[in-house]
Amino acid sequence: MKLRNIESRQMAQIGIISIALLSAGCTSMRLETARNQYTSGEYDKAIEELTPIPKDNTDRVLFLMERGMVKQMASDYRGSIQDWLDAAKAAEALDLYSLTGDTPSLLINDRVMPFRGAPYERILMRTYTAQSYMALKEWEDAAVEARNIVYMLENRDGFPDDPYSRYLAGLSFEINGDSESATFQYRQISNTVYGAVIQDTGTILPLTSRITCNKTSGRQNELVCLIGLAILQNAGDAEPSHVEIYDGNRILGQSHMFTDIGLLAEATRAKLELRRGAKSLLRIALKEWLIHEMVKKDKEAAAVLSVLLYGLEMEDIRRWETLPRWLHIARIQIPAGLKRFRLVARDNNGQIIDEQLIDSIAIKDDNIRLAICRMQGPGFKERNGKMKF
Amino acid sequence: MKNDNTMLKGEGNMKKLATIAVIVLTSILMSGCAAFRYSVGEKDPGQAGTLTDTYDQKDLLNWGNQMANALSTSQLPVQTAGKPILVALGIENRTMSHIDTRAISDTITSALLNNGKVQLVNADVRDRLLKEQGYQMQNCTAETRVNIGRQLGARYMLTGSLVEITSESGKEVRVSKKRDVYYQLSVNITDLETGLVSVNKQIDRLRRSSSPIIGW
Repeated sequence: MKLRNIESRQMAQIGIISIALLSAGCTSMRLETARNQYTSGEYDKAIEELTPIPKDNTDRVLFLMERGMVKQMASDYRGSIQDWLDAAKAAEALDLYSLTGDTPSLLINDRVMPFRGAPYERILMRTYTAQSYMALKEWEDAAVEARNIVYMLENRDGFPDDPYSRYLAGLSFEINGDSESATFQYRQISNTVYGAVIQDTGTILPLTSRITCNKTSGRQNELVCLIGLAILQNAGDAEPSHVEIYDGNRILGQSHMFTDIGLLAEATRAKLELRRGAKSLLRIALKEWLIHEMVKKDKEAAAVLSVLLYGLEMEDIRRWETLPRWLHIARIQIPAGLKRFRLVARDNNGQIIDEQLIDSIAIKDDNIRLAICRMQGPGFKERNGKMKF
Repeated sequence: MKNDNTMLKGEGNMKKLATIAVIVLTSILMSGCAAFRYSVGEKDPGQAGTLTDTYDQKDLLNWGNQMANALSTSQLPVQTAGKPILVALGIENRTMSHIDTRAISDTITSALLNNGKVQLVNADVRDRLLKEQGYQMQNCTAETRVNIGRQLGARYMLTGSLVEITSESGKEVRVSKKRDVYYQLSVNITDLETGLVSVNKQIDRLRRSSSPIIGW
């Protein structure tokens, strides 16, 4: 009889843990499926997988971030804007400490808390929203996002700066004729980009370059190329060094790495380490106290509770995974009238790791052209890295 | 006998508890009814209270009317025969929110038209001309706006900008977070013949909100 009781208790214990783990893993599975579909270039399937998003889902902000990125890659700029604006609004609402949403994390784990997004992810969400507005040629709305980027960067509370987002904010101001605000942003990052100096005008001046550009004849225009480089599949450990921009076979210039998102994530984690450590200690102390109290009443139940509480202890590793790893910008002189370019991503040994053709759009008076693209390495089909305008 | 008394006493306690439970339940239901009921009611948009510290319907109406009144009291320097023709060429959104500044511009021009001070160029005609020339209103440079205004036969051009400054209370031990949201709406009327700004008006508004840092 006693044996049967223990068996049924163990079954109940396994059942409870399974339900808890399954409920936590359910949304993770949808996200993982969608991410895999995204990297395979199956954007429609990925969007379908991420739809609908229940309003009370703790990963709602993460779902919206990921879906926004898939939509942008699928050239659904309006849809990506809507998702990211919704995510920004939802994340802002989560700044309030929720007794029902956040308190369980003191007993279970941080994974049960609603996902708010790390500060750098929330800034990059604004940056990518601005890029979608730019792709739609809605410059004033891009500048609205730029103001949000600047506000968040100015109030970042010790979290790392993001030169790429700053440059994009400056570019938005420049496009809208607010050259003073643009200069202020460019000046903030003048010496933060490796191998280049950012001038007050936004010109990216290479300090050293292996590239010798051919002189172009006639009137000179500018191309600003915003490049996201993702983890390069089938490329071994190769890290991209730069992206070269060609007109046919003639090299026009190269990109510079502005932001390494991996480093942003690392610096953010380090900043939050102390806070998370203190919370984990508090949680473990609370769990120990609960188990200790239960031991006084029922040792078997205390054992079940112990397995349950420590079985649910897990690290919160949620993050916006469809973001590229490296963010590059090129601002180069181009011959007037040139609209299509060939991009070649190279590693430190000069080996080609990705190549694609991109189209550009005119910014206002046609003197500056803008191209937005994403290079994801040889594991991607050619069309996946491009964005149509 | 003692047991009977205890039982009677127990029954009495139970009755008391049941009465208290009924009273508590009734009061919860009565007070909670409204919380669970969906209701809709008509409100005067100008008089309705504000629910947010950012731009809302009250700002749209107030700014539109205040600006139209302020502009109406200003004499335009050269009075042409009849009412002067005005073209509205957009209010630039320089805020941190995606505000429909065209609605502000429309509210101002509607009020100006109702005041009988000006004649307005039809917005559809204006937009068609902009489209024909390959422009979007928000992408126009100042020079383009002047050219478009002249081509539309207008003597005056209404432009402006909306600026926002937001500041939050710093880090401190607190139970609520304070936030100030300041807007400045600036509207210009430019004489397209001289290129000079004839009238310039500004409206400021500041709202301070206090939100709890702990909620359900």
